[in-house]
Amino acid sequence: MIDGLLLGFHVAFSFDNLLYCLIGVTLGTFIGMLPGVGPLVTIAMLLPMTYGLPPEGSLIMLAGIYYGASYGGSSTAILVNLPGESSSVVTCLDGYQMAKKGRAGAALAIAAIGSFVAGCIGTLAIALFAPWLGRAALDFGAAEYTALIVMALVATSVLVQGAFVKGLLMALLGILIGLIGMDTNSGALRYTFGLTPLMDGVKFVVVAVGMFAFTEIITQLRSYSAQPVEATKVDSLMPTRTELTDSALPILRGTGIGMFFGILPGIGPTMSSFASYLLEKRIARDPSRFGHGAIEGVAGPEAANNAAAQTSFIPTLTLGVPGSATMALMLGALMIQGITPGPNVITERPTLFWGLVASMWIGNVLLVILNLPLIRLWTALLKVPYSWLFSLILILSCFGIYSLANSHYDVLLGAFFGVLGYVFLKLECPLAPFILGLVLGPMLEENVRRALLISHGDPTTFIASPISISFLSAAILLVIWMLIPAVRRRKEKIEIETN
Amino acid sequence: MKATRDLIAGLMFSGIGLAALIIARNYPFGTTLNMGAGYFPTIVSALILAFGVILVIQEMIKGNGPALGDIAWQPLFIITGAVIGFALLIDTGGLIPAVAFLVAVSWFADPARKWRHLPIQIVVGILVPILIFRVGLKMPINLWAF
Repeated sequence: MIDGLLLGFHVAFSFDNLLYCLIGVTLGTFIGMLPGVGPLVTIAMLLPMTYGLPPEGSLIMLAGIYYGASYGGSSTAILVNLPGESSSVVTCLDGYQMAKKGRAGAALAIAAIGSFVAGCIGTLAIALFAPWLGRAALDFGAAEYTALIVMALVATSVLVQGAFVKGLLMALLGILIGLIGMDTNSGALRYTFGLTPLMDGVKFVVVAVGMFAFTEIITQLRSYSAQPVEATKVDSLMPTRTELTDSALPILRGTGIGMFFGILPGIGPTMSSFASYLLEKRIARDPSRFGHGAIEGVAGPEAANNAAAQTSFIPTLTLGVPGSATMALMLGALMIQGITPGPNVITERPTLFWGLVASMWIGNVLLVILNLPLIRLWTALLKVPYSWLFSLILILSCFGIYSLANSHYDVLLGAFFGVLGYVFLKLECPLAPFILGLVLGPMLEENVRRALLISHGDPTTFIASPISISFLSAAILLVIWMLIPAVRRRKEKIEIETN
Repeated sequence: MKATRDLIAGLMFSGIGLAALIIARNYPFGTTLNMGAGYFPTIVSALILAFGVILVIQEMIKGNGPALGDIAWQPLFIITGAVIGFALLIDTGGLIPAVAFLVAVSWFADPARKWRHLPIQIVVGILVPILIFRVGLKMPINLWAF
């Protein structure tokens, strides 16, 4: 591990990679601070620009964009009560209240410190656990992978907001869309409707840009107010001594929660920030302070979502099974670079893996430097009118799709998925399971086919090993758990409380 | 019966599942030992159909789910039209006409639009992708192809 980390820092400290990391976190913070643009849109939009880079540089830059956008999202949550992404929804609750009481600077500083501590511990956790998990995953056969993918899909579908049947349906629909094109095994064309451009299948970036960027623009244009948002003024960034001591334990607990949830496939930063908030509120001596500017309610969730953001790279890189829509995008980026994520990545591409791990830590340092002293500069971005923003997002999105293969059919397809995304939004169908299904679908089919071939068509192969039994029973337990009326009511209550 | 959100969603998914199931019948099903091109699609679309029907039944029994909110028809049509126009113009017309069309059409969807901003928005909109994709990433994109 020490050798690995040394190699990683050697890679990450090369001039080029340091530059990509810096560009990534700066772009990420820049775009994450803009109102109405979350990390998903940011990554989907900027993804095509990383194609020309070497794999290490491309992934380092994308990871930087991801953290930067999350950081930017937390800042807007605290300053203007606008969460840039779902994982900073809980930061709004107490962060914005602190800002209203004139403690905006302290809230930002605690959020940054919490994220930084969580980031450091999370990076260490990756260095420790990823190689271990990678080795364990070497024993995974097709049946185990099938069970793992099923668990990831079920977990994502069940834990989303609203009815979980719709989550499962979206995951299945994602799998179905992923089937479009030529069947790699038999060469048969499936669901192409005689259209030649569909023969290669639906490109994942096309769907992501269509559903996240276009759909977002359509909804924003309906609802945004022409007045630019009024950001709270940032005073002194120094937290008081009590604020610091009150945050220390929540940060550590949040980090623990985040690391745990991040490693599980199908559960991401959002769940962990919710869990951390609920825990802090539960164990607080005076829970009534929460929602009125309790520092623990900023420190815990911010640490949790950053820790989860880091450790969610573990299943993505070592198993090839992403835990969230954002990680699915990262996986897509890797595949475009010609790298198949899986247990072999660490041994076959050590510079890629360890370089990324080291760059995560560097990225966290850069973010603290970029964010805290320069926060006043960033808040100026909140004043950019949406009229200017949306046309630029639209242009970059269109070119992002077009530049994939210089095909205007892809742009047309993107427009289609924009409309589809809007329909799903109106029907309150969650997009994350859909994206995950789209990415994991082909993998699922391949593994099911291989497992059944190896077992001579015996379906009991899926419950033949303890590993696959535990994955599948976890999936079944999750569904049963959600069917218990008390749990469902509680979930609805939490969703209402935090909205 | 009200057209609630979940009812529409359920009907939509059932429809998609059924259509996909019918199409999948054209692909060789194969056997469990040697799955054909139709094996997996059949399972997936059957599951979509089943869960879709469950959603419909669930909503028919409860029947009090939230209704479909109002739809932003104007931005939906304008933005989609602008993107389609871009797609049709980029190969035949080149970057400048395609971006100009995209910006000018989508401008109409902006409730805070101002005439005097439009020309600047078009110029900036043309310069940004030229700088990023032609100069920066050295992609061969025609500027003007008419």
